[in-house]
Amino acid sequence: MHFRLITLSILLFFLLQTPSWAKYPMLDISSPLLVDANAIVRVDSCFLEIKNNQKSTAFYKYAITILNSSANYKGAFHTYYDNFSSVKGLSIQIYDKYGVLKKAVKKSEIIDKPVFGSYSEVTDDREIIYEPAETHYPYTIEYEYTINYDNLFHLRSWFFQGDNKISVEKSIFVLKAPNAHPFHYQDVHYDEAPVVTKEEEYSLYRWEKKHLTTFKLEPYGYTEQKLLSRLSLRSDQFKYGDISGDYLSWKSFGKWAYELNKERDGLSPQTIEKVKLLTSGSKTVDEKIDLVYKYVQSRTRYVSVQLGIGGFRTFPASYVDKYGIGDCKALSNYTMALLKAIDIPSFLALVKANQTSNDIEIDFVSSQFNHVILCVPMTQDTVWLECTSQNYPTGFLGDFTFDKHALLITPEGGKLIKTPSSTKQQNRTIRTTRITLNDNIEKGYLTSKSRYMGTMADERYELRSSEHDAKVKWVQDNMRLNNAQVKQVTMETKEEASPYVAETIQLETDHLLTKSNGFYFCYPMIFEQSLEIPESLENRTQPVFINTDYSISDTTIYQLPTTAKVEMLPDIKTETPFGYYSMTLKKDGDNLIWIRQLGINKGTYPKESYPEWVKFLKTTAKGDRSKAIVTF
Amino acid sequence: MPFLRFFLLYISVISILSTSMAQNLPFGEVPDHQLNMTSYSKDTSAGAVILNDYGEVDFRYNNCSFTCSQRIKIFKKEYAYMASKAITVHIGQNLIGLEAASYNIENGKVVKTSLTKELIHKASEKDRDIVKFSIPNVKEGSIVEYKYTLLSQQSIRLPNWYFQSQVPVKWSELKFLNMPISFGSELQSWFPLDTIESYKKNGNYRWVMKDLPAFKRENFMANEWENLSRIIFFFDPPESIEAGWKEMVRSLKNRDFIRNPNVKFLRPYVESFSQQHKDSLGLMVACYNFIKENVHCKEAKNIECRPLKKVFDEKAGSAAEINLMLCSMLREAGFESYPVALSTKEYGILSKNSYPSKYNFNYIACYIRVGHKNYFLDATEETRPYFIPSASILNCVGLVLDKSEINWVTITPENSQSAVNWNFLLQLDSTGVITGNARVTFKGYAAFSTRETMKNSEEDYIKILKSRMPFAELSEIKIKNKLNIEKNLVMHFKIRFEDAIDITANKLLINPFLVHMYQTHPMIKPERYYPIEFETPIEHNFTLSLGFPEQFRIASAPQNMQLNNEDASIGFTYLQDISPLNLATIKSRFYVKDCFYPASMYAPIREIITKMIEKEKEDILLTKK
Repeated sequence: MHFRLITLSILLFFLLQTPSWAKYPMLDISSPLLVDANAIVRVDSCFLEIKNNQKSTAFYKYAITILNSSANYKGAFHTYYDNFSSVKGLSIQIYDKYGVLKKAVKKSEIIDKPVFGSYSEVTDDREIIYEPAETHYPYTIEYEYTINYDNLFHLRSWFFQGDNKISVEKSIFVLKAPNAHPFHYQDVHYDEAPVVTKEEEYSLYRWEKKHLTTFKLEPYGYTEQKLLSRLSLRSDQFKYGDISGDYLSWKSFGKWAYELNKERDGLSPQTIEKVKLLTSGSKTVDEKIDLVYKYVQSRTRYVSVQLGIGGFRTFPASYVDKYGIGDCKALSNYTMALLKAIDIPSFLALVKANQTSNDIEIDFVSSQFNHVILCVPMTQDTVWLECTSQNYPTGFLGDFTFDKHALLITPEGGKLIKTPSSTKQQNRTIRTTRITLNDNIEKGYLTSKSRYMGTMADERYELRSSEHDAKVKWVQDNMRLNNAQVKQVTMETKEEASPYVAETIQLETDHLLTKSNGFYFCYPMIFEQSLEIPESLENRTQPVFINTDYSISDTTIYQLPTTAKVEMLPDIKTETPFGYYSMTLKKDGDNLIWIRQLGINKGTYPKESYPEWVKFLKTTAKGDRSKAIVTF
Repeated sequence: MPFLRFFLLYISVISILSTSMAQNLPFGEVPDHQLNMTSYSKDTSAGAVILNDYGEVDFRYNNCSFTCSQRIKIFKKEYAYMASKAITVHIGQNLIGLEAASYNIENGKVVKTSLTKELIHKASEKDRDIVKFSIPNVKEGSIVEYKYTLLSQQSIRLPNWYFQSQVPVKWSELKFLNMPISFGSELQSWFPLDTIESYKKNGNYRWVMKDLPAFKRENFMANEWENLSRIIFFFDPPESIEAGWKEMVRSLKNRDFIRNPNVKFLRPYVESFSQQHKDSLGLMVACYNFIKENVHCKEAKNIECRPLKKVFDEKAGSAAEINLMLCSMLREAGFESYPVALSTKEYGILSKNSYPSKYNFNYIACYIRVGHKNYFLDATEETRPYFIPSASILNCVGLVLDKSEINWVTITPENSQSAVNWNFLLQLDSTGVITGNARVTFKGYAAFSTRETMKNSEEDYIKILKSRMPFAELSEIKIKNKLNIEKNLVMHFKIRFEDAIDITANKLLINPFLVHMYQTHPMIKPERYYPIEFETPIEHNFTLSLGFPEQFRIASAPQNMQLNNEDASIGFTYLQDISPLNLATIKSRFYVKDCFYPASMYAPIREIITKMIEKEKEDILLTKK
């Protein structure tokens, strides 16, 4: 009886979708969906059934019409599964533009293999792949398959449109849940309530969106993620591995994460002795944290082993201690254990690490995290440790995790707090470049000294421990003096109140000045890149988002022979709500001194201000092309 | 080919060239001086060095065992990843004796940490297992060492041995013990072998290379492993290379898929095309377009072909299958056409001196004579017109499978051009604003690759275009012949920018080279061990006509320049012309005619590029009259 009900509801659900004679004819696509589209999703649907507290099943049906070869990859089937899920009954059909079946893909044509990853990654995930080899366009490829999930930990997120460059004819999500089973959902850009059909035992919830056209992103506008309509679902209760948990609050979800990871911080008496001895000489807690963090960095490396529930449960601290390897959880947990040994409490913190401004949805408690860092609460400033980095100075968070919400995992449960954000004063570059020329101007010698602070130092922290050739190559690729061989690069971290990277670059070249017809030209921009000028949009619809605060102060000094005569170009200066810019040049004795000042103000600005922003950027571009004429 | 790329060794001619004593210590014996090393004297920048790398194949007992061991010194944490490895274990092989450890000095004592079972993970695929392991406790200063043996029960596998690595290698050695049969080998290296030893009587052989520099990928390299020093082996060596190739051609031509490819199913199409096209070129192009539009190229793996009917029905096949089908179709249409067996640049550059083996081929192209012209057809990419084969076979050597005993050809198509012509017609006003029109014409391979970047959307290319002129505003961008692939791709746009002007001094500076050939110097390293491979020939033509207001005159303009290498196959020319009618014309041209240059040509080529980059920085100086 139960079985029949399911089949019937699946049947009903799909019978409503398509006529039985021809599937997905091209003619059925309404013309607005073809605008700027290389592919059109004809149907994207999921029928998700919560069976009980442990199991759910999702039946998927997806069909996409590919208009030309550039969209071929969008027709490829690619899904992952692991020990907690299985993929059943995959069938793939390909139809021609009239909707006539061209090919039913054979099982032997579908690849099912373990995920390889890199040498330092071990997982039990597997992947299923099929890539169509069609050469006649348009064609439509359709997939139907079922995934059985052994837990309700992740209960699907659903994007009604997956990509701003693909239009969607219709996207349907149906949830069947026992009436007694508590769950929550959050929809974004979905204006109505779902259609609910209540039966005695269970209820059906149906979301549907139709005719989603492609759309363009605006420079400095919303991210694609923010504009796409979607649905997030969660089961309020779940069981993962052997521990039950719930998503009723961040506190209770954090409690589950705590239970899963607790008592994995045991260390051998020798190690405890060692860390005590290591920190015995230091007076302040800050110094102790610094020593422990450096100890971890020096004797561990990142190796990811994700087997079974290893995706969420850390390896014990003793494992990391013994072998010196671990992933983000294990390295954070190990650092936590070492700090505990010297009576400094700290907490694992879950975070959604990414380089954009995308953060977790704080109003929708669910597992949205992909990374673990460590939080050491202090009476004054909390210290955050990125234990996965081999190179960051103590307390530095890179642009993957700063200014994001993090869930602290404490014995009392989860606590949501913000990681630090940074200011223009903190994110700074200060540089002085001195250039001297020999008497016949044939050869030039350049020495530049820079300080990179805050996020401006991010890449250099990573490079600092690289081999010299790699540093030289990086500097060479990023400087504008494209014809000079860099001789020496040093990058050192100075850990003062706020850490910075001190960089020295030395080079010697015949091409510091450009010679033309008895004139010499010299330029101020050597190590900085100009800001890109975005297109001038006539109808700007979105606010202007500037995501980071930073400032750059760049001084370039040419020491010229006394006989040199210099003709200078006028200064450029501008100050706007978005930031300031100036390029000034003066002659001081034999020295030609250029100063470039740039400051960008983080913020959200009204859409009307977009032309002003573009104008500001154009002024910076003009100033950056500044030069001087030198004659002798 | 202007120089010998491959160095061939035959067992019959091998003698002891030199013997150097193995200076290396047994596995597990790590001396203090290795632990105390802080840098590698031959490359102080190196983040790690492979101190020794051993391979030993023992053919005793009718099976074979392949034992590997490697010792690495880690200087920089960045290279700790070298302590994580993956071993591929094929069906019929057993992995035994996997041992590994790290060695560190802690508190003045040597601490050894061994690999344990919990650090070894196996994943099974259909026909092989992948065994991954991570050596524990790796820090800056660690020595790591591992060793394992692969036992083959049924078959003998001869290893491909790579002497070189991404870090410097101090000592790399391969040994064969008790080799029961004769074999051939091919060494490819830009560095000399240190030792070759051969004791034919007991079947023992030994190859050693020493002090190899780290291999880092550089620009102008078709692939990495092609340039790594390596040795590969073959069974049943022929008497001579030429005899070997002859025998190979004979056997290849006897294969069913070459001798008798069945393309009856294509007859109706051939008949209909023959009626539509009375000229032979038209007919050839129709067949070419038909095949490339109907069969999708999946890969270029080998030259084994399945029945062509099956390939056609599946609408997908290998490069060899597709071009063999095209070749057979053209024969069906009455043309004289032959398959050419080839190796792509990515697969490895082949020469007449290469070891004769069908495994050296991974590609078939179609060689056809129409009127007085020869074509090399290659129907593997839908967006490529018939007159340009894939750049990955351009200038490669192949074997024509025609009536002759042996016939080598070089893929030098009728049209191998890859040119971009930039034309700017600009006017300067008295406030320093420059406006005007631009026309860009892409030809041959340049048109093909630009169309490829536009495949998804034109915007993808426009972004690249704008990034080449970041200072300018481009508008009204129009693209012509995007889909008409046999024609040149043409682009028009309007451009506007302000240049540095100093009104008070009445002086104006303009950089006339709006588009530079290279944004960063592609040959910044002062020297190079490896040959220089250009993907296609290059031609970059830049023309600017700049009109300026009456009250200005040109005080200085970059002076003319002409540079080229010895055989004038690479060159840069720059010419200026200032007319009294307030018009300046600037022309520059950079070209590369060949695809392949030996390392010895690096310095002169680099010099030309350096001078070009300097020239492109020079400004025009205008002053008010």
